[in-house]
Amino acid sequence: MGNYGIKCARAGYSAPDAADDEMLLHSAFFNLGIVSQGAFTNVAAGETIYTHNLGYAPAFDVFITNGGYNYLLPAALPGGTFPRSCMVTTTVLRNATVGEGGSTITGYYFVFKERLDENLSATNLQTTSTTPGSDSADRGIKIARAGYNAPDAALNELSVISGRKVANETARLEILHMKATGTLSGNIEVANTVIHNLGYRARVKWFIKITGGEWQAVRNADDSFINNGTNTTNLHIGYTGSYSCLVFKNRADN
Amino acid sequence: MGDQGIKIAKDGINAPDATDQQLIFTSAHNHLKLVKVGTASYTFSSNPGTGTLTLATIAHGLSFTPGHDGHYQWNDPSSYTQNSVLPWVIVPSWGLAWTIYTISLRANATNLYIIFDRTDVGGGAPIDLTGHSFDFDYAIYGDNGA
Repeated sequence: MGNYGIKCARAGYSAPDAADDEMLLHSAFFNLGIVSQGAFTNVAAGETIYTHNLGYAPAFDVFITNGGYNYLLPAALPGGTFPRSCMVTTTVLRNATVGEGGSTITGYYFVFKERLDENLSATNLQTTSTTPGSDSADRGIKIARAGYNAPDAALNELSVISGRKVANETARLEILHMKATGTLSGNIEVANTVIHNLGYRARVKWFIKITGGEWQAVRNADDSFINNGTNTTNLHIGYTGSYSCLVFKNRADN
Repeated sequence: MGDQGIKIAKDGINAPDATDQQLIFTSAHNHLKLVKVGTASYTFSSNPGTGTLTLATIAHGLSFTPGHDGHYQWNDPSSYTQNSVLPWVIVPSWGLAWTIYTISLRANATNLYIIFDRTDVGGGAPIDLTGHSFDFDYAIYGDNGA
């Protein structure tokens, strides 16, 4: 019996030939599914933003509103402040406590399907890039979120969209290349390295669980920094504990 | 009308029986969509003073304030963080007098902005960014971020 599956290339690319990072959807790869998302207002330090009850700690994004703009946490705000990441447990997404650097926040959260405590091996199927063609007609796939009608749905009411008939705007999903977990080095001079071997700088999400604490997102701040190579991503941070890194097929060097 | 949708299981798993963790895709979930990706560049022609400077403004054309993230490449060969995720953060001098440089992404209902900020606390000696250049790679989500 032959292979079964589905693959859908991004707008302008040919599905049989497209490289992995040129695909919209491919049944060999997981996409970053969103379990729950929503706005929150004036959540105090340490308080719950959302109860997910997944039974595992999931990856997440939290944006906060400050001065009329939104920023992805952990952030670097004008004025030299660094609002810390929210924390996720096996049951809740919560604001950081005062001791963890938290304060009352308003914003928007995403809880993703991917769990932080497991590895996912990298798979490369097609690594040779192709040249996108032009297409003047609207073609592709769009799937509405539950309860919405696909032909009428707004962009944020769609689960998937392969592209829009607007120049230079092609939709893409976050196709997961690999997940890696490990033990933090505990020394900011010693990199925590994840080898992805994609041959290009990839989009990544880093999370850490400091000893005695909960999982939190980490980006560049006054006590941590990330350095991305073409085949690795490296986190420098001086805490002990664990790390989890999601590496996506999408490039960070378009 | 009954439930309608699509779900795709990973190799070796039967879709009707699959758990969420075993599904490659399910229309029951939204998926993080990057609806606009692009690049921007900036070179400092002189060392910036204190305050916030907008390095790039990108109109996103959405009817809501979207989520976003981004990366940068910095032409400083002496740095650990030549290629990284945003925000870019430099704290050149600690102690009684210190200065913080950051480059961040932020959005409102109209635009995505790449902004630089310098905050001096105590008047510490900052690094001179004259001639330093940055290439940015940004992604705008097709979902709310506010």
